[in-house]
Order: sequence, then structure tokens, then C-alpha cells
Amino acid sequence: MKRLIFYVKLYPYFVSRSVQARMTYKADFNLGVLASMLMQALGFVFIWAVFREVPEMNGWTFDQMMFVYGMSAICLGLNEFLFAGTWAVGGYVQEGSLDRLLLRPVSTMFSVMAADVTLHGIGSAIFGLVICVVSLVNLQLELTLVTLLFWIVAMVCGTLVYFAINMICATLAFWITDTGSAMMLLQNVSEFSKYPTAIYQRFLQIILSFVIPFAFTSYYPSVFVLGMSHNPIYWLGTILAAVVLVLLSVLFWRYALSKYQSAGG
Amino acid sequence: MIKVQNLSKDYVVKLKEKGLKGMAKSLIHTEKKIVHAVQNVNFSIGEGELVGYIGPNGAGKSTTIKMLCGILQPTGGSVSVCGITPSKNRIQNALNVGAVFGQKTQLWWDLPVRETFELLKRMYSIPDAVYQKNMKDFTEYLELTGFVDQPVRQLSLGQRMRCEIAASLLHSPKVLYLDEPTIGLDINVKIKMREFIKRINAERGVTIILTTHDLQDIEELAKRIIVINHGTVGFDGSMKELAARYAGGQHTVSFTLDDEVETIMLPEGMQGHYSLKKDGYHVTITHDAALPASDIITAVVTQYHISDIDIKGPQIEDVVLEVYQQ
Repeated sequence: MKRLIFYVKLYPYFVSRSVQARMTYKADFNLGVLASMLMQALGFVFIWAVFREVPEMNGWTFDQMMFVYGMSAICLGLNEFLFAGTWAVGGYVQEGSLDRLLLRPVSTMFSVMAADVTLHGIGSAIFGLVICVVSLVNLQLELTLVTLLFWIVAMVCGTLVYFAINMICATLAFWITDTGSAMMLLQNVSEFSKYPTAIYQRFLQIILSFVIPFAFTSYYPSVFVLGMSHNPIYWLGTILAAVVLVLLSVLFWRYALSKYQSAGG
Repeated sequence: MIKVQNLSKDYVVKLKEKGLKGMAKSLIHTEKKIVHAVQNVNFSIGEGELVGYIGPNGAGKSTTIKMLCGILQPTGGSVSVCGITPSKNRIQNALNVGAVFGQKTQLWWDLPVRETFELLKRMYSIPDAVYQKNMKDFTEYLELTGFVDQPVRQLSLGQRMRCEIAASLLHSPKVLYLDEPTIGLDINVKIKMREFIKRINAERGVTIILTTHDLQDIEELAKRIIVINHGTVGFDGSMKELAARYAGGQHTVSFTLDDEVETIMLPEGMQGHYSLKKDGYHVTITHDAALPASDIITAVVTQYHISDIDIKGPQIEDVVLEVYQQ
């Protein structure tokens, strides 16, 4: 427990240093945030255009869909911002610079997670939050304290789900040389989490719930927050998915590390 | 302090065949080869010792150091550093040791050096008093003022290496591993680094293992030397003993003569201490340690007209070679 507090305290410090390092390239930062907000907005314009023709999709209205879209953008953005270090794992393994992390008196997975930030993730997260709030206002939903708390927990869980799936994919770098394309593929699959899983075919629903469970970042928690179902699968599933996936990613990382041979020299 | 017993490390290397066919084959089955990087290494190092760990490239130096750090798991044998097994208790071990790898940076590339120090302070939970004292000492000894607030990417190699060694010692470790700390440095920085290493060894009693290809480093710093080649220890003893062993025929003096002469005559008393090779205007005299190079030069210069002299002492590779030939 003491150790956990140590890490929780250390993390913001790492993030702030990484932000400082990234800020040295100011133009890069401003452009990145702007570009990511534009990208999110563009995707959003797309569903808005579709809904001008069809007012409802498998029981989902435009405003409800907005919330799912927003949740996905928040979690995706937070993951991109806070845990960008996962993208560098392949490089660490190939160049043998994992050695550097192994020298430190902290968990290597912590070092990997905290190694970098992607500032434009902030842009996505802010855009997502705005969309969610607009959706709630349009729906004239008054959130109870429990739903509000759950919503915050769901943002954390959703971010962790994205992180854990990314981390598991990145860990494959111990066996395959180029994980970049696999991670890009995952990022494309994560696009599906922007819309309610209920509108997809059964096959895709199963994939998004059990194989690459991106649905737990947006669809499942949204159903509960919007009060569309009181089935515990929606709130419990969200939390369980995060816990199980993070645990899996930790175990997989440890297994990979035990097989690690640092580069020669 | 450090105890290494029957330590071995094997690497599994995948052999890939050339060409498209080989690539397709490797998808199904890859030939594997086992490389014995370190075999049955034994040594024990006491508190406050400064030991030179030398050997040619690929001899197993870095692999040993990495096992001492807990970075690599040994295939066989045991390691104990301050009573801790590094591979089992990596984090505990990391708090006791510091390391500098000359070829790889430990500093954050885009951040000012000071920020790296601050991060390390938090990571190692270094008490304020210890941190302040170390920062003050290292800034003074290594003359860091002037560039600690610059981003690492803007530093020269010499400045960076001075910061690396300071960073490795911030948490006052009991043991320090220096893996080629002077590689690529100019002579001024090398001298500064050597003085600093000597100083922290003497003043703070830090146990140090130093690997290097620079014989000067070893001669000035290490009282004890361990030579490793092909993964096995070939020599473990004092600098004097090693010097006695390589006192053989490794020193050479070369001359370029102005005029071609039939033979070169050296004084009677030098007989048996040198061998001579003549190739046109070039004369190479290989001699042992009992015959000083200065005597040879005096003898030659007084008899012949020369245009160039070149003196070569023993190189570390020759020393190692010698150790393994005996």
C-alpha cells in the first residue's frame, strides 16, 4: 500500500516533467492540440449528418449517441496524454535501453507508462467532456450523486482499459520486431468505441465486449449513466473490465521481462 | 560486499537464413545457437575496493555488470551484492548501487540536467540533507556550474558524462559500476573523471568496479585487476603482478632514418633485451621493461641521423592477449 502511494505521488511529477520536455517544442504542441480537436469534431460532424436523415438508430437518439462519442474521446484522450510511454516499448527492447529502466528502484512498467506524454490527448479529452455535457443538457438528465460518481470512476476505468489493451499489444515487442503497425491497427479498432455497440452486428458486439473490449470504455458505462438500463452488467462490467485487463497487462509484462535478454555490448 | 560464485550467462541467438526463402523458413522454425557469454566466473570484492574489470570487446564484461545490477538473470551460479541477490530483489539492489554506462545515457534528453537530478531524488526517496550535500560536493568536484540548467541534448559529451556520474551517485550508493566511463572523452575530461573517481573511492569508501579499454584509467585507478576473455576469468590480482606478466616484449620504439644504413648497432649492455627489425629507412626496436626507451633513443640518436621517432607502450589488448597466451 505504501508502495502504491509512492507511485501515485511520483506519477504526476513524471507527467509534469514530460509536459515540460514536450513544451520545448511549442508550435508542435499548439498544432497537435488543434489537430486532435479538429479530428474529433470532424468525426462528430459525420454522425450529426447521418442523424439529420435518421432520427433514431437501434433505439439510440442523437443526444444519447453524443454521450457515447464523448466518453470515448475522454478516455482515449486521457490514455494518450497520460500513458504515451507504451508506444516506445518496441524501441526500448530493440535498443536495449530497457536496461536503463531496470537500473531504477521503481517498477519497470511504471517507468514505461510514465516515460512520455502526448499533449494532443488533452485536446481530445476536453472535446469529449464538452460533448458529454451538451448531451446531458439536451437530454435534460439530472444526474444523481451515485451516477455522477460512477461517471468519474468510468472515465478512470475506460482510460485504464485503453491503456491495458495498448500495453498488452506493446509488450508483444519482446517477440515481434515491429509493434507499431499492430498498435495502429488497435487504434483503428478503437474507432468502434465511438458509437454504441448496440448498433453493430452481433459478431462485432462480441469482439468489442470480449476479445478487444473497447466497448467498456464508452458504451457500457454510458448506458448506466444515461439511465437506459439498471442491469449491473453495465456498471459492474465497466469496473471489472478495467481491473481484469490491468491485471492481465501486468502479468504479461512480468512474463515478458523474465524472458528479456538485453542487447549485447 | 560483492560475491560472485560460478556465475554463468548463456544467450540464445536465433540464426536466420538469408533471402526470402530463409525468411519464410524462419516463420516456421528458427535455428537457435547458444552463446556462453559468461562461464563460471568467481570473484569477491571487499568494501571500498576499486577494481578494474578488463577484457576485449565481447569478453563478457558488460554481461557480468548487468547481472550485478539485476538487469539480467544469470543462467547459473550466484551473485550477492551487499547481501542481496540482484536478480531476485532488483529494486532493493537498485537502491544500493549506482551505474554509469558510457555508451548509454541515463539522463532525460529534453530536460535540463537539474530536472533529472530532481526526478532521481524522488525516485530514490533521497533525504533533503543528503541531496543538498551531494549536489554541493559534485557540483564542486566535477565543475558542473554553468550547464546544470541546460537541456541534456545541448551538452557536450564531456559535460554529459560528468552529469552521468553525478546522477549515478546522488543517492549515495555503496557500490558503483562504471562501464567505460571515459570512452570518447578528451584528455582533460578524462583526468577530471579519474580524479573524481579516486576521490569518491577514498572519501566515501564507495566500492567501485570499472571496465575500460583505456590502460591509463586502469593504471591510475585500479589496485586490483580482473581480466576476462571469452567469458572466463584469466587473471585476478594486483596491477604489479599484471605488469610483471606483460613486461615481455610489448614496448616498441620506431625510427625513420635520414640515410639508409647497413646495420644498426646498439651498445653491448643492451644485448638480449631487444629485437630489431629494419625495413629500408624504417627501424622498429621491440624491447622489454628492463631496457628503458630513453636509453635506446639516446644510443640511436648519437650514432645516426633520424627524422622521426615513435614510442609505443603496451596496449590493454596486448596485455589481455599476453595473459591468455601464458
